[in-house]
Amino acid sequence: MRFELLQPKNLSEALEMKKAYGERAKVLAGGTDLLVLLKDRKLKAEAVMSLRRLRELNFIRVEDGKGVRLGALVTHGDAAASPIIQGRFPDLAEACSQVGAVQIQNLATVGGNLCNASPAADAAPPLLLTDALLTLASATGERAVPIQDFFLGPRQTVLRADEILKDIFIPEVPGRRGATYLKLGRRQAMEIAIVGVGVAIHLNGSDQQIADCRIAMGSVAPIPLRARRGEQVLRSQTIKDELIEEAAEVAAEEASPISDVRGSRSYRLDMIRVLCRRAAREALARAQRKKQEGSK
Amino acid sequence: MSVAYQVVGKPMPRTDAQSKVLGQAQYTDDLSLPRMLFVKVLRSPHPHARIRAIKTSAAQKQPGIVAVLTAKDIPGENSMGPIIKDQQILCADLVRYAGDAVALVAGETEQAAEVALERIEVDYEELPFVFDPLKALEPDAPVAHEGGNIGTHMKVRRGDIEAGFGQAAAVVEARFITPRVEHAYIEPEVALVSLDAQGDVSVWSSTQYAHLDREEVARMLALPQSRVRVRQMVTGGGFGGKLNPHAQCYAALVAWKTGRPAKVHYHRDESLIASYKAHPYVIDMKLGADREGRLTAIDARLVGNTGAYLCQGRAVITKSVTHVSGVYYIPNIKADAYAVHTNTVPCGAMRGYGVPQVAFALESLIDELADRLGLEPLELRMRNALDTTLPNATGQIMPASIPVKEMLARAKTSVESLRPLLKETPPGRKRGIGVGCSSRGIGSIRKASRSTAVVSLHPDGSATVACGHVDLGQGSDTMMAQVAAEELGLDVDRVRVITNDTAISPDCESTSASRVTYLSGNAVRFAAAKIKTRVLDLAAREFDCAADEVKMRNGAVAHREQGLSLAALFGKNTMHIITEVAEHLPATTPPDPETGQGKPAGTYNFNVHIALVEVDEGTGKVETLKYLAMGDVGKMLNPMVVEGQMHGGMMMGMGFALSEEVKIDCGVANSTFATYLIPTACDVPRELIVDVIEDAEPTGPFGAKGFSEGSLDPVGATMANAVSNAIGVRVTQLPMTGERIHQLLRRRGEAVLKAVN
Ligand SMILES: Cc1cc2nc3c(=O)[nH]c(=O)nc-3n(C[C@H](O)[C@H](O)[C@H](O)COP(=O)(O)OP(=O)(O)OC[C@H]3O[C@@H](n4cnc5c(N)ncnc54)[C@H](O)[C@@H]3O)c2cc1C
Repeated sequence: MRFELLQPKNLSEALEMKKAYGERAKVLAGGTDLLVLLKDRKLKAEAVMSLRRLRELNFIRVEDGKGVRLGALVTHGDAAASPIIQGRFPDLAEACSQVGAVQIQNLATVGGNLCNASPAADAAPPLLLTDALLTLASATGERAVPIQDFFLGPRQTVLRADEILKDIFIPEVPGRRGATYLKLGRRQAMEIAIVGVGVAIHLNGSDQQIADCRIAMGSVAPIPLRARRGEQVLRSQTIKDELIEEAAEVAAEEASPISDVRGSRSYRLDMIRVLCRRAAREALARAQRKKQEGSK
Repeated sequence: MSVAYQVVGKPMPRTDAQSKVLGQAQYTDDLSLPRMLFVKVLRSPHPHARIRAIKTSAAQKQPGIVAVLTAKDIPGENSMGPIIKDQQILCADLVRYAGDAVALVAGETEQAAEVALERIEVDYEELPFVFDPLKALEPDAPVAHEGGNIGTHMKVRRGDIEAGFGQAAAVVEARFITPRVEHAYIEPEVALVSLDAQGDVSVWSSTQYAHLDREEVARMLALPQSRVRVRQMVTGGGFGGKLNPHAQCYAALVAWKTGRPAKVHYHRDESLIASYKAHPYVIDMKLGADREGRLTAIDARLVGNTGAYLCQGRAVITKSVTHVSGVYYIPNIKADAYAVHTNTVPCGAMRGYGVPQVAFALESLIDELADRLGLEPLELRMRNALDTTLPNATGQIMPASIPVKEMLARAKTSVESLRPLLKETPPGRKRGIGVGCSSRGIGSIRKASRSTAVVSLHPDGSATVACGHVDLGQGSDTMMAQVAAEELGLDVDRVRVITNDTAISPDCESTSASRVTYLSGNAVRFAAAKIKTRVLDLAAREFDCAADEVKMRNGAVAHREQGLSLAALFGKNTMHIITEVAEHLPATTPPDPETGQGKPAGTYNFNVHIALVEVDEGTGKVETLKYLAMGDVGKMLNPMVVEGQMHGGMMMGMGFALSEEVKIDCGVANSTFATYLIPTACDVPRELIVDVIEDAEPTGPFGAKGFSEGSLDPVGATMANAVSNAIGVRVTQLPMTGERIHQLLRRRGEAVLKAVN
């Protein structure tokens, strides 16, 4: 494995290099996906551009009244440990804390997780729940792409050859929102999800009245995706257990899982139902707790 | 009778611990030599094919390529295998599994060799193949191996099987299926070979049997064994998987042909694809008991898929069939075991060696039978447990060190203490308790085997032990040092143990079959004892007293107020060293091929395990809340080593029980550790308790016997019984992945629904 190593010192230098090299230079963040691909010769690279020196992309920041912004180089470990993330987006913290194991979380970035575009990327479902915006930067400018438009297929995104992911913006969600991410693997660590499901529930004043519901799923289709019809079942409804069951049923219908070494299609379909039900109940409980905490 | 020992029986860290923790230990891949070549192996992409032609010229012309070799370049015999040498080192005309080796490329760099590998053109004629062992037994199945697909048929015949089932008040039977399992040693296969000026061959390798490396390399090169010297480097685990020196042969052939040092190191995927595994079994078993809960008969058919080559299949199958009745006395036995060829990766030795598979089947049926008879599972076990008066399946009676009943009694107390936890089951979960037992003959069952040790005492009060049982990381070198130190009255750090060099250490056969402590431990002890006798005799002459009045300690001898250093004693007798050789060959009789009857092992090891599990009703995932591993080891030579082995064996068994399964599509389908899942540190049971039973083995060194495999043997059985108890359905297939358990739960749910409607 031989390649030229590019080590830009700042973002503008990185963008100039990316412009010059285009497809020929692969971006390296934590390297936990990229280096595996290069070593297995599933990917060839003339040059590798390391983002390690771009300190400016390593931050987690609250933008008052608007939301939270994460630099593309924030690691899963930092995201999972961040009080900002834990407090506002516990589902994202849960997802990041279940990526690989501690060693991986110390290296691997949330940005890399998205750009790698695996259907199983653990950070994707929680970010899909929030309509996160991805800032894609190039030497000629920036654009903000909603996360649901970012993935095109396994390992395919809308990133152009001259672009890099700069940051991830998660819009603040006002009101009583509860969310969780559940991952099913065959062992307790170092495992890619058989199925991952995130659910967010927003309450409307009453503990029983759902204002909004969002469901996102990983490892069940070529890309991580929202179960929009499943969400519809619960949206603006008074909560009932049968509705949760039905939402889970409908979400499973929206998935198109394959059979592979991790699990068969039929097991995956069953597990979407199971995780969806559990996540919805937990998200609901979390949303309901918000009021109690607020009123204390 | 309790003897106070100075060194033996004391917990002490392994002699290799510090160098490993500091990263200073030298593994084979840490070595390189000037002008060293890198060797890559071309492997068959087809499960079964005839080789019509191999064109190597394009590969040879690649930059940095020094040699491209095929079967015709082998000067001696083109065959290898740990026991049965039915696999060609490089296939000459037929490939029998996807992964069989066809050609070697030697390059100045690994990259150059990898590129050239793709330029070798092999013209294959694809042949019909078979993967499933039951299909391979059908009359018109493709022939996976010449001589037919039945590689071996071993039998046990005891008593009258029909009469036995006739006496039975309850009979249970089922088919059990176990997975093909990978050893997953942390260090894949690696070897470095060079020639000296006289053309003698030096091998440095990761191996479980340095002398087998020597034998195979010498045979391949048509050299006398005396001209091949093998040094086992620090070895990152073997677990039975490093008993076929393919990497060593490939490196040796390149070194021989080119005159340059050559290294082979497998990447993980190559190790997973090409190296032999543990046998998957299909077991049909039937078990009967009378109204009092006495087992009356067992009928079993064991089909082991041995893959493309027999390798160790015969020995593994023999171990299985002779252990078919476990820790129980069963008067009437009919068991047939087959090693069946298929066009899959060969299967051979792995920790457990055919016992975990039969233990799973037998212990499952014991639980079923207990249920039928309305007995507690432990009570049924107790009523049939072996003791010093009852024979096992081979007809052997163990006169001592057989504490099965004591272990079962202890197990009863433990199970009682777990029962209240069943009431604390959280919603959506099911809890269950399971017990599993196992017995294991120590050492090779199919033939007698011997260990030889050379012990030398030096005038400065230090000693050298030479004994060819390599240490793979399990701690045997430390225990050999303890044995010699105890006998010679020395501190352990005064004893140097050399097990890894064929030029120094005598052949003790392989490090396998839980045999090192028992066999080599005795050989070392006997040799040291001979030395001690000589020293005491010399001292007695000096002190003018009886030999048994002399004390020998810390490099000196003393009698009352008289004392002499060993240096002085040696000097007075013009001696520079005292060296003694001793052997241990247990008195055994191999099993009769028609009846399986004999006295195949010098001693046996017994295990009783208990698990408390929790099953997620939604996902089928199994979590182990508590695990108790009770092991009988004779006397412990080093409690720290014992505990480490028991933890390791137990977790390895957990992989077999819950997640590990080598799958075949064309060759091995899951050839990475991302798809072949061994347990991680996070998968260790919430509470893991090791309980050692010490019941001295009179024929073992300081009462010790082997046990390392035993800690794995009953884990699959124990976990399956616990999960079956939790979900109310009998598990008959391992590993118990979430998906499999989910299916069982669903089927049970459907059955219940049907019954209600
Ligand atoms: C042992 C192991 C276990 C793992 N377990 C999990 C798991 O449980 N769940 C999971 O989701 N993943 C897992 N992964 C995959 C991987 O760790 C994650 O996807 C990780 O988040 C990737 O981040 P990285 O920083 O290492 O990315 P890199 O490997 O550096 O990059 C990944 C891809 O994204 C591109 N890229 C990275 N950053 C940018 C950027 N800023 N702009 C443009 N392109 C960019 C790279 O060019 C590359 O194509 C595991 C990997 C390993 C090796």
